[in-house]
Amino acid sequence: MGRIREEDYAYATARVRAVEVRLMDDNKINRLLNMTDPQDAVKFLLESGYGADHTDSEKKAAENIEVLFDDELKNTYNFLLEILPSPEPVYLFMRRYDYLNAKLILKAEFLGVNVLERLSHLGTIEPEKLHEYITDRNFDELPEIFSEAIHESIEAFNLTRDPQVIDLILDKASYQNMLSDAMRYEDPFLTKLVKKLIDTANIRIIIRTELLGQPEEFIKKALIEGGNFPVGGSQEFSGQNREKLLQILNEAGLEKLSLKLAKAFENNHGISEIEKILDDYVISYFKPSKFAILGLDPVIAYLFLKETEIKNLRLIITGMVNKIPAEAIRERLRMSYA
Amino acid sequence: MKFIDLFLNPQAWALSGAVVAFLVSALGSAKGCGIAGQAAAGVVAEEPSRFGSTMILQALASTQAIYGFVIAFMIIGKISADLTLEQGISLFVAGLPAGIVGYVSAVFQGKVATAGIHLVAKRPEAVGSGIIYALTVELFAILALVVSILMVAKI
Amino acid sequence: MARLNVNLTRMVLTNLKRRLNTARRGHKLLKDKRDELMKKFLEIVKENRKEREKVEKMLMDVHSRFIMARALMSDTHLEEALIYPKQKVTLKASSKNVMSVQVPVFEFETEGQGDRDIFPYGFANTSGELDEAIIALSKVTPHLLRLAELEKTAQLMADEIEKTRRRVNALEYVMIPNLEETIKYIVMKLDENERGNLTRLMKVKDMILEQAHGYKKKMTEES
Repeated sequence: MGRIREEDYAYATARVRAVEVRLMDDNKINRLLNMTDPQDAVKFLLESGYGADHTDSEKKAAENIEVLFDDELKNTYNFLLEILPSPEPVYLFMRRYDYLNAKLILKAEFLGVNVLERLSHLGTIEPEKLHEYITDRNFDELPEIFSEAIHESIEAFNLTRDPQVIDLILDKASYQNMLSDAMRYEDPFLTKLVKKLIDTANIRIIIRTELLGQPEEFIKKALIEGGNFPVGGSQEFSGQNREKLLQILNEAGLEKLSLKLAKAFENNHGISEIEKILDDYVISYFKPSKFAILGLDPVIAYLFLKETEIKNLRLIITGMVNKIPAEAIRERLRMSYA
Repeated sequence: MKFIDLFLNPQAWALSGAVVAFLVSALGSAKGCGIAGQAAAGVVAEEPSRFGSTMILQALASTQAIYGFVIAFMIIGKISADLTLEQGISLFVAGLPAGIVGYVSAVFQGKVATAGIHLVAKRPEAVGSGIIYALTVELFAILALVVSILMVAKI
Repeated sequence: MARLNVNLTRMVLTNLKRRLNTARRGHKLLKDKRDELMKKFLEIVKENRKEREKVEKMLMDVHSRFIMARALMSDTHLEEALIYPKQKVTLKASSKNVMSVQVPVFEFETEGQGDRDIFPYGFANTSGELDEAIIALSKVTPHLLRLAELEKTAQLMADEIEKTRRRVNALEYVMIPNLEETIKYIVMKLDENERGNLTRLMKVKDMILEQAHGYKKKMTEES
């Protein structure tokens, strides 16, 4: 596929700029944080344009706020598909939900339960179809990386009866698929972004494996190749993983991230703080996109900002329903450059 | 007429000057307007009321083509049978500023106008500042136009 | 207090006396059993309360961690992560005898490579707060089982205590008094019969003597 020139994104960029204003700013987030009744919060979201394209969203949202968030994400993906000259960059991110669905379908199949209603509708493949493909073991319609990963995870599960291997194999393939899509699209911005996503996923894996004292071979199975810092091969993550990790990050030119992580390690912050650092790190990649006039960057940035916004809203509202102290919520809120 | 004779033909030189002056600047304008126009359409899709301000911003990059057209017209007016080779080459050179500066400034003006349109998308009241930013780029096109006019007038 | 409806014979009396004896001995034994059960019961209740407080605290902790994980992950992601549990727990339930009460004993075994290998999901797309919730939950499991054991034991013992108490009371306030009353009645009745017999015999003797020797006059005169 030929590379799309950045001028071709002029329309998409401008439309994104026009809708960006509707993202929640600090002011709105603070207002939400000060609310105590979840019903008020839902009303506030509906007034802010959530679930605008769905008629009965107010009723549904009152029952389950997740429906509202799902609809909003779906709207965002559809919006981007509509404005972009090519759907590929959006499919790249939507494919993550295909992998999610595949994991669910496989696990449910091995467990003998029905999950068809719980599958996500955000993927590129209809959940019903995907379910059919996987149940029939018919992978002709699926992308190569995807079908191979499903195949591999089925075999690995039959061998080990360990549900974790399904996640490990498909998660890895999901990132690899993103990377190959990004490279095929020949957009350096996308490739860099996917590499950053792989990096953060790897860091998450390394730190959590260490925190939980998982065996060494686990980490080797779990790490995802293709990021900015090398994994596997000569790199051994064991024992003092943290120092090793920081050193490797420094060597790979990710000093800023390494510095922040080092600080979090020193202050002995929990995993929640580290996850926030990682999420913020990805979002900070979009900082320059704020000033971009043309190109794919602002469009993808909008997608991520929207996802972050929904993440934050879920955090706030779940906290509100369960009466979690506002402080615990506030310290977990992700950075948003809206 | 051999190919080499073309280089010694004053009329050919003068005509190339006119071609450069118009063609290059018009290309730039087309590109600038095209980018800004896409952006304007994007904004209007979300906010139909902003058509007026975005249209002004889009149109700004079209002036370079007009300048190029003026210079080309003047150069063509100078062409006559008794043109010397020096005059022909001079006319060619006179077309360059309007053409090249016109191209570059039109493209950049288009981008600045796009930025201005983005600005309008967020804050409609800021349309004035957006236009001023874009007009700054216009200045260089105007200077190039003046230089080209002066040069053509001297010949 | 009702007297038993029995024949007023010496044989019945002996029987009743024997029953009274047994009842008294049974009463004493049951009383001892009741006291001992009470003692055991109180111990278990005390332990139960401690365990319950502990479990409740732990469960609250698990709950708040799960809420946090939920707040950070979408429903579908959470569902995917947790749908297939990795660790299998085999529970063996048997019973043991405490003061003739069959109380349950739970033993459980976890399958899988140790208590570290309990996460059924990958780490790339899940929140770390979920790990903490899972760890906390897996720590609660043994306590939860122990609590179930204690609760059931306490319940069964309470039943047994109630039963024993009723038996003791029945013996003490119904059975024994009834027996005593009946015995007393029979004894009295038998004594009465005895006396009646004696008087009758004396009277008969008098009558025979009079018939044979004409003593009556004398006797009356004497008296």
